[in-house]
Amino acid sequence: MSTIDEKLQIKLSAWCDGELDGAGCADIERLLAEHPELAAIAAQYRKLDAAAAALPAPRMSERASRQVFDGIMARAAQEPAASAQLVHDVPAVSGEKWDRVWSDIRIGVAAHARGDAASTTGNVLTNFSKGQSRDAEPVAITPNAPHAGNVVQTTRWRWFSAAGIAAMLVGALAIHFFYKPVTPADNTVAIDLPSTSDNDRYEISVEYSVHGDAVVCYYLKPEARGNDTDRDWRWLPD
Amino acid sequence: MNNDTDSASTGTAGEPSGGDAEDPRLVEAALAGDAQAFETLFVKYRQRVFAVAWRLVREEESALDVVQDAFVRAYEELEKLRGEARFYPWLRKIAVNLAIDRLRQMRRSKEVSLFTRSGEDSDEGREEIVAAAAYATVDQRENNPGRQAEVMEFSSALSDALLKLSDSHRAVFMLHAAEGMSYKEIADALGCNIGTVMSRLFYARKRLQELLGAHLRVE
Repeated sequence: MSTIDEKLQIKLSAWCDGELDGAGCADIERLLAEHPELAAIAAQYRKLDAAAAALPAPRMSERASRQVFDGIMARAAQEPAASAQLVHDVPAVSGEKWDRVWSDIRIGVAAHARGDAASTTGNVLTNFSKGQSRDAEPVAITPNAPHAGNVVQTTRWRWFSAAGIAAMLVGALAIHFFYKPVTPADNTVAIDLPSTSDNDRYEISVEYSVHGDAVVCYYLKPEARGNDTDRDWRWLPD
Repeated sequence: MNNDTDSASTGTAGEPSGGDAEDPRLVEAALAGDAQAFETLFVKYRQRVFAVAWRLVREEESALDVVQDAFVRAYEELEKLRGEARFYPWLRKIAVNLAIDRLRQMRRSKEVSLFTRSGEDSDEGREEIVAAAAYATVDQRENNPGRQAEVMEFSSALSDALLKLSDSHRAVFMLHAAEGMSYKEIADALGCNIGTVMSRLFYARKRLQELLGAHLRVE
């Protein structure tokens, strides 16, 4: 079995379920002829399915059933304006730290790549005077350029770039480890909504108190599509 | 409320024995304000929806909540069903969505220790289920105690192995194997693509093969 590609094993699993098209079935049937051990694997899949299907779930008792139905009717009888409590998570903010790190690194690399390009594509820079920036506009080399000979050494630029990138990386990592984004202390929030508003698209804002500071998060509920659940609520960064 | 015709207790896939031909009429009647019609739908499908929910959340109270939420949502959105989809697959999709949400909520809040592998209550419940499953799968005419013991042992091992799968793998496997849902139905219910379902199902089976080893030997 280990010699058979995993993609083919996935297809074998789908073949057992009758989920492959004609060409896929032909592939698997050819494989089955070449590898008789696959037939045993397929038989095991079927045995697993049959055994899982035979594991019954417990039944709802008559008493529990009555309570559930009464609960359904009570909730269904509520006025449209009555609230249905939806509980949503406050989004995790840990990703923001890495975004900042990568953003800093990208800026640093881009800046140094520009400097490196100036020295490696055959351009020269004029002498630097005090207060002049090294990233001054490069001047193209021409045979009669009066300033030929003031070429900035490529190797020096590369060292400079490497050191700069390393510094950026250190700085970015420092930001990552020491930057503390505001994180709501409570990771869920209960939102009261009209139960009949599922067909509407609307935004809500929720104010949290985080270590005594007010933090507002915005949520978007798109228009209902089919059987959408409250998973469709998305956090909107402000 | 005890005249349900469903087949949840056997754990088998398929439609309730009463069939769903009368469902459109019941839906229309419920939409017209006939509470009795909706109660009929509830009685007809409550055990099946409970079974779906329980297979995913594996916790009775949560499964009951899922049933209630699913029927409330169905009641509120019944208009969407008019003249289109069949009632039970639509209801099941709602229940699967809610059960998955509930699983996520339970896992994040850690209010409940999911799928505990120890603990008297869960073991007790599981043993009952395993025993029932074993008797359901053993051919009683065989009257072979050795064979019955073997099947019970396999059912017990399978129950343990299922608890060791990830939530997503177990959900796909149980929806397919126990609920008889197609890849497309699972993909729709879970909000993923068919390729993902195919892959998760394969890895679930592969893991179960690893965990069950000799139990899976096919004569």
